[in-house]
Amino acid sequence: MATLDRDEGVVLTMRDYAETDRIITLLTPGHGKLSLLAKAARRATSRFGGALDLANRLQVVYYVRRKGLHLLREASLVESSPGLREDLDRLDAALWGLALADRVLPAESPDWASYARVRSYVSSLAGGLDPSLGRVAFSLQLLVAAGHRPRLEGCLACGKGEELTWHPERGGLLCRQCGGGGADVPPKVWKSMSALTRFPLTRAGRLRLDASTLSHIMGLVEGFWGHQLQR
Amino acid sequence: MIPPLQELVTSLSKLPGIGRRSAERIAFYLLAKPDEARRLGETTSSLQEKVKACGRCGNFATGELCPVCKDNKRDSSTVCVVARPWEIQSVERTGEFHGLYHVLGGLVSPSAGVEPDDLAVDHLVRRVQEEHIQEVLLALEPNMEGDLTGMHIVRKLRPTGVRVTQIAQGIPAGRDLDSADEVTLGRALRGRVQL
Repeated sequence: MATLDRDEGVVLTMRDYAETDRIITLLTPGHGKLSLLAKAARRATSRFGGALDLANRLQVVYYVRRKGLHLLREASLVESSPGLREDLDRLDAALWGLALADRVLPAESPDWASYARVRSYVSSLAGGLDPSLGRVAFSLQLLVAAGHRPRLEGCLACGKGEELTWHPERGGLLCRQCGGGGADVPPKVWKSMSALTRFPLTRAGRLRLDASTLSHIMGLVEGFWGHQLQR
Repeated sequence: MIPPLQELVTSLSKLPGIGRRSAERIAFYLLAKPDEARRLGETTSSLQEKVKACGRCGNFATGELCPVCKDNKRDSSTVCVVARPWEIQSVERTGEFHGLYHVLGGLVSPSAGVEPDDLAVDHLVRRVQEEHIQEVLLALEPNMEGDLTGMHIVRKLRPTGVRVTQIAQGIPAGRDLDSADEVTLGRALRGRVQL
């Protein structure tokens, strides 16, 4: 017999299922990433109302099922983010971040750190965080939360801070003397990355980084994520 | 159950709203009514060839244009934007809209990998410019992905100066106000109109 459980969580993804149902992915602090079947959620008279939407923070009660998806019984809204709807780029960045979290975080593995970062990212964007900076900072911080912190305090072999190159397979920066290859990572880029991993989003949002530095960092982080996901 | 019947039941039970028991009932019915079974087979097998996307709006059509685009009595200055072609039928059933349509082909969805360029947004911009459209009415899902799609469209259409509106969102007709959740009621309040 299915047992009841409860938690709160942020809606990462939603997709239609069958004629009137939806499957939602919820990132919770106590149960990690949960996939829940919300029966009849697409009906106009759905008991879930408008609570089931991306980025909403919900309190949920659900039936735990050993086989198949857990079944959502109740969902009440704890917090929505109307501020996201005021700006296209911030809304775009928020939904991109939720999709990233869904892709990289493991299912049903309790993870307070990732949950806190996702919540902070959504609320910071709703509060006006620069979306380009937010994307870069969030993807770096999600790496850290998921236990893949890149080494950004100089060469990971000798500790020097010169002629550094990027090596996701080794876990961070490597200088040329220690076997590093490829394009140099300018000090401004790796020092900014280091700051973005350490600062909370509210503080990281005050950093002044130009578009080319942000784009450079994003390229490096995407390479790092790609490597971690392949593993 | 013998294999041909089993195969039919399996195929039927994949259709929306049809469970295994209903699939069995339909299969036995078709076995007893060979003429209807033949007609059903012919219409379903020719469906993909006969039904195409309207070259102007993306609605279902049997020729180059759909019945709505071919109808000269429609108000060609207003275009209603929907995500999918079958949503046109829902708007048509209201009898309240007399303009033309534009089908996007979905909604922007980062989780599903759907980008604005994957949708017929540029085609909409071209239609606005070439067909001298005065109003674009967005009839998209009232959720984050619908909002994101709508905001992308507004940004793309801004240089054309066209008036962009969206359908009202909020409490369904016939429902008690106290049964509405705060998200739905909040949307209704934000979209209030002057009387």
